[in-house]
Amino acid sequence: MNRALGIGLLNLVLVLALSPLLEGIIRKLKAFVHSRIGPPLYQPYLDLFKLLGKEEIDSETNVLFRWSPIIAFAAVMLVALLTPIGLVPPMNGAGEVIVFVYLITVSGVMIMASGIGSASPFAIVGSSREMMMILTVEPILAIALITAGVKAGSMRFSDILAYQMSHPYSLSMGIVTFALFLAVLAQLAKLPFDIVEAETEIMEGPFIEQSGPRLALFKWSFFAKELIFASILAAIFLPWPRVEASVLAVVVTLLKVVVILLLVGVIDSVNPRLRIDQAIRFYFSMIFVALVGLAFALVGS
Amino acid sequence: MHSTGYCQALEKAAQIEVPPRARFIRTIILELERIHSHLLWLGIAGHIIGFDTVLMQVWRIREPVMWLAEQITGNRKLYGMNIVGGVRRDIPKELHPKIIEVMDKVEKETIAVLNAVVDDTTLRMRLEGVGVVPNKDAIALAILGPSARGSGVAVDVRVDHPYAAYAEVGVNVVVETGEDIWARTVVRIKETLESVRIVRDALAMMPEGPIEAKIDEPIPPGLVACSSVEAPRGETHHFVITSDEPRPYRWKARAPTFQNLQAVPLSIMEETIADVPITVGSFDPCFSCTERVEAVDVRTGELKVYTKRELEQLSRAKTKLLRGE
Repeated sequence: MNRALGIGLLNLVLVLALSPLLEGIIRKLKAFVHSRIGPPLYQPYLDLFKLLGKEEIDSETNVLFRWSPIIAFAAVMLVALLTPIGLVPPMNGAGEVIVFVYLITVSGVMIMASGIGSASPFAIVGSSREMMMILTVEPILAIALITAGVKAGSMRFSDILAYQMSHPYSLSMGIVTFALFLAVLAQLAKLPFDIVEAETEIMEGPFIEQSGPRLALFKWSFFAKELIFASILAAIFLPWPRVEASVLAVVVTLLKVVVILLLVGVIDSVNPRLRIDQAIRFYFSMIFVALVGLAFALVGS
Repeated sequence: MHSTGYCQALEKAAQIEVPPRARFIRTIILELERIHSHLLWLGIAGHIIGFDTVLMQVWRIREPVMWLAEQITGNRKLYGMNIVGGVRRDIPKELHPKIIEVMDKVEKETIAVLNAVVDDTTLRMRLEGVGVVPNKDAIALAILGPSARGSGVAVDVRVDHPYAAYAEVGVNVVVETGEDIWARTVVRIKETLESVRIVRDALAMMPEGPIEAKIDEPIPPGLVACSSVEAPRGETHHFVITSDEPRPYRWKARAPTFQNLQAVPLSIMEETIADVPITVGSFDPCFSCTERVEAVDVRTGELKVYTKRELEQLSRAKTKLLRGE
C-alpha cells in the first residue's frame, strides 16, 4: 500500500512538475524549425505562474464555465495515477483501461462544457468541433487500449506491462500503435488537428473567455496530457528497450517520452490546420485501421 | 507605388518628360516592393491556416529585400523615392553587386518554397477548390491583380498600359486557371520570381544620365490627368487636377482592394467557418484602403465615424465653397 502511495506521488509530481518542461522542449523545437531562437525552456512554467496569479474574471457566471477547468484538471490528475511511467501504475484496480478512457473523455467533455458555458459564438463553434473530435478520436484510443488488453488477456495496465515484457511484439500492436499515435495528435490539439482551438479561425474556441487561474488549469492539463499520452505510447505500445519496472525504467520511459513528443512537435510544425470535415474523414479511416488491428489481436496475431 | 502613381499623373498633366534612368530606378523600386509584398502575403496566408513555419521562413527570406530597400532609399518601407519629374536618389554602381546578390538569394529560396508548397498535400487539401471565383465573375466584378490572374484573367497594367521602364524590360504575366486560393497563391509566388528577373534586367539595361527632369516653370492650374500603376494587389489609379497653389486642386486614389473585396461574398458562399479567414485573406485585402474616416474631438474625447453619405455631403459642400457658390 505504501509502495502504491509512493508511486502515486511520484506520478503526480512527474506529471505536474515535468510536463511544462516537455512543452518548453516542444516550443524550442518549433522555434528551431522556424529559424527562431524561441522562448527559454522554462517559459511554460512562467506562463502558468503568471496565469495562476491573476484575478478571476466571471464574464458569465455559469456553472459549466466555472467548474469545467477544475473538473478537467482533476480528471487528468486521476489519469496520471493510472499512467504507467516506467513503474506499475499506482491505482491498480480492475479494468484500469476502461477507467483511463473514461477519464480522458471527461477532460474532453469539460473543454466542450467550457465552450457551451461561455457566451461567445466562437466558443460554441469550438465546442461543436470538440464534440465531433471526441466522437471520432476517443474510439481509436479505446480500440488501441482494448487491443493491448486482449493480447494480455487482462484490462489491467500491470498485466499488460508484464505481458509486453515476456512476449514478442505483434502485428496487431503495430497497427493500433500507428492509429493511436495519430489520435494522440488530436488529443493534444497539435497541428494538423488543432481544429478545436484554431487561433486564427475561432480564436482558441472553447477557451476564448477563460482567463487567469482557470485558463492555467486548462493549459496545465494539456501539458499533463502530453506527458501522459507519450508515456502510454512509450510503455505499452513501443515497449523497447524492455526494462523491468524500476527507477531506470522511469528514466528510460521519460527519454522515450521526449523522443515521441519531439516527433509530435515536428509534425506540428510542418503541417497546416485541416478542416473539421477533413479531420473527421481521416479519423474515420483510422478507426477502421484500429479495428483491423483489434481483429488481428482477436485471431491471435 | 502610390507616389509613382501620383507623380506620373502630374507628369502626364504637365507633359514632363522623365529621364530614362529615373524610369528604370522607379521600375526597380516598384518590383522590390512587389517582391516584399508577395512574400509578406505568403507568410500571412501560412499563418491563417496555422502553418507558422511558412510564416517564419518566408519572412526570413523577405528580410534581405527590406534591408536592400533601406540601402537604396534610406527606408525599409514607404521608400519616399519619387519626386515629380524623376526620383530623389540614384542607385550607385557600388550597390549593384549587393542587389544582384540579394536577388539571387531571394530567387533560390523562393523556388525552394514553391517546390515545398507544391509537394505539400495537406496544404493543397486546404487551398484547392476553396474560395473559388469563376473566370466570368472575375471579369464581371472587375477584380484586379493576382486575384484576377488566379482566375485566368490576364490583366496587368505593366503590360496593358506600360509605364516606367516596363516597355523596355518586358513583363511575363503569370496567369493560372485554377480560380481558387491555390491558384492565387501560385500566381503570387511565380510573380515574385518574375519580379526578381525584372529587377536584374532593369539593373543591367539601366542607362546613364540624369535622374530628374528640369522643371523651370510652375505647373499650370486646371490640368487633368489619370495614371495607373500595377501595385502588388492590383491596379491603382491616381486622378489629379492641378491648381495654382503648390498642391493639387483635387486628388483621388483608388486602391485595388476596393475592387477585390467585391469578390469575397461570392467566394465564401456555402463555405465553412474554417475556410473564411483564408478566403478573405487570399485577396490580400488592405482594409485601411477601404476604411471610413474617424474623427476624434480632442477637447471632449468624442469619437465620430463618418459614413459614406456624410463624407459625400461634406465633399460637395467644400466643392461649392471653393467654387464660390
